Amino acid sequence: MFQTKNILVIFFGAVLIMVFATLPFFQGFMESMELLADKEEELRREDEYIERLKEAEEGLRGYSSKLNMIDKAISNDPAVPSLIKYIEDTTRGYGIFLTNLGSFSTSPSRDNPDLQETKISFSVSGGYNSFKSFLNAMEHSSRLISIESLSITPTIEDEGIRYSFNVTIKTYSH
Amino acid sequence: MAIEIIPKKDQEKPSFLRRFTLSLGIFLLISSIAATAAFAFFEIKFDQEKEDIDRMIQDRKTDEIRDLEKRIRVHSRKVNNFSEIIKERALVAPFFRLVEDSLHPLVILTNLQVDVEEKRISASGIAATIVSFDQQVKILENNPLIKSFSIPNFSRREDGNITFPIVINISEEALNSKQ
Repeated sequence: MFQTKNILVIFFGAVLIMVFATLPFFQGFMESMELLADKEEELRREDEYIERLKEAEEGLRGYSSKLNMIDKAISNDPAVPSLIKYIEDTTRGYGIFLTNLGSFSTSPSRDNPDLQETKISFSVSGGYNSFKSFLNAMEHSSRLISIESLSITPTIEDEGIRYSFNVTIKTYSH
Repeated sequence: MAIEIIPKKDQEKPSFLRRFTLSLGIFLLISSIAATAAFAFFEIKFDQEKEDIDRMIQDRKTDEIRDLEKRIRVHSRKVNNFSEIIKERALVAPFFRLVEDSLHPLVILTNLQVDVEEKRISASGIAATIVSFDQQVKILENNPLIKSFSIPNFSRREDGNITFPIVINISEEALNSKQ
């Protein structure tokens, strides 16, 4: 029937096929299986992410008024003219007088490069309590305004004490 | 019935080792070919599935989803920035409150500077007498909302009033206190 030589050829042929074909294909198969599992995981994460995005959008709908408020608080540009107009209107509203409007500058925020800070210095005169109310109104305006520094100098005049105030304020934009 | 005159030699039976090696060889040959074919088939199939998944991931990223993603990122950025500013910024009211509450009745301030970022108040004061000046210092020393203060010098004027500059560093508690 089969000669010993033929048996050995069959046996070693099988071993050679295993070593040089089956094993590499097996390794490729394992790698592909791992990659497929990774891809499936990526797809699952993508689905979760999209789901979360949609949930976030739903959630944000309930806060649209607050988001609008934040949009107003931090505008997309420095909008200096409207800020100056706001300062003029507010001083008038609190019975103090805008005596000088100093320089303004816009630069990236030190703490957050995503934000621009616009600083404006100005001087006003009027009563102490009116000035405090004015500052309070500025700090609680719809546009986010921070008082950076201020100085108060009282002078005695015929009508009584008159206060001069120098103020530096800071607003934010994206 | 025909009778065999010359008996044939008994056919040699293959040894167990040869039979075993042959069977094992054939088994290995068939199974390795089958396994190779199967692995190759699955590898191609998995590659196809990977491509399908890649396509599905791409398909999920529609323009609508990209817009939504962008909108949410913008909102999130704005909310974070807003919250950061609100958390960090100090209002001026606590500075005024601290000065008003800590001022001796016989001491007046002739000018006042507030550096909100540095949480510092600088002022020039006039005390009516040396006693009121001393009491003013004690008031400041006993105020827990004052982190530190310094009066680098003072001088007595001809009218007996004491003039002095003062720098006050206010504490975080003072900025957070509502009273």
